[in-house]
Amino acid sequence: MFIGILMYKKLAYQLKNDTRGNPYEYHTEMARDEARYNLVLAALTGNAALLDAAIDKMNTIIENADEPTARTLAVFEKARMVHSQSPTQDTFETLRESYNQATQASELGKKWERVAAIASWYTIDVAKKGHFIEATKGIINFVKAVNNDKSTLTILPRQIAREVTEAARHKNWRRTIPSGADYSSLQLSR
Amino acid sequence: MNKELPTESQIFSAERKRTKGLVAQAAEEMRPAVEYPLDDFTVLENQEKQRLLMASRIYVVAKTSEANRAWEAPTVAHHLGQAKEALDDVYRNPYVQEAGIPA
Repeated sequence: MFIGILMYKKLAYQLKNDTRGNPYEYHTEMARDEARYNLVLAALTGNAALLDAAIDKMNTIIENADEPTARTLAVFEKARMVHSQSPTQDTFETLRESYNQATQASELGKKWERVAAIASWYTIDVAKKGHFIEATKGIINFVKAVNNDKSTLTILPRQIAREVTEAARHKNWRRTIPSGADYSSLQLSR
Repeated sequence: MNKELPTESQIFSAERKRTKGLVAQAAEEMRPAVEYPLDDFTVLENQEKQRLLMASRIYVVAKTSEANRAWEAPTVAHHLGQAKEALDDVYRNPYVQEAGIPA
């Protein structure tokens, strides 16, 4: 068993950079992709178990990730999911704390696209709940990201457009599901 | 089966497009990576492994994003189906997982 863990660690740490030598934790990023996939599938099918699967996946990522921007982003994404399911003061505090850590880590790593995305999600999430001072913090971080990487400029407007249309889109998804459609084949195996 | 992996500059160009919201273009450009035969993943150079996985990620994220933006359920399912194919073929490929990419 001990040798097995060592082998796993050895293999898991083979690929830790992108092609330009920047830190890039493939297994963490890919697990995040699967969690996001599950969130969209959950919205399509209305299967709440997929949300739980996404949160489970985030827990696994948080336990195994080493690269700070990936780990703190996973903590933030999990906090968003939990706060969206259960919007209490406690889950808001967790969200706020995880936001600060995720933006700090990504700023240190000069991952401006990530900073812009995190700031956009946070701005929208907290503005919806009436936390306008926190939303201002999000906008400040977003502007900072845009100043460092102009290609991130459209991230916040696109997120806002997505958010504004989300309820209508999801309603239309359920309305346009063909009768007899079976989406079970879209579920990922555990 | 595609035998050509996207080049590094193609990957970074697709990543820029994805960042700018041009997700359909980004996914199309990275499709060769998810069609790459993976039987020989373990014998690829590290740079090639990195390119294959980075390109596959762009494809999956872009397809999931296309699904999320769509308005009709069949379109959503179509894009999710394409993303799932890449998740099954690449992310959960035993050779990829052996190289340290646990599902």
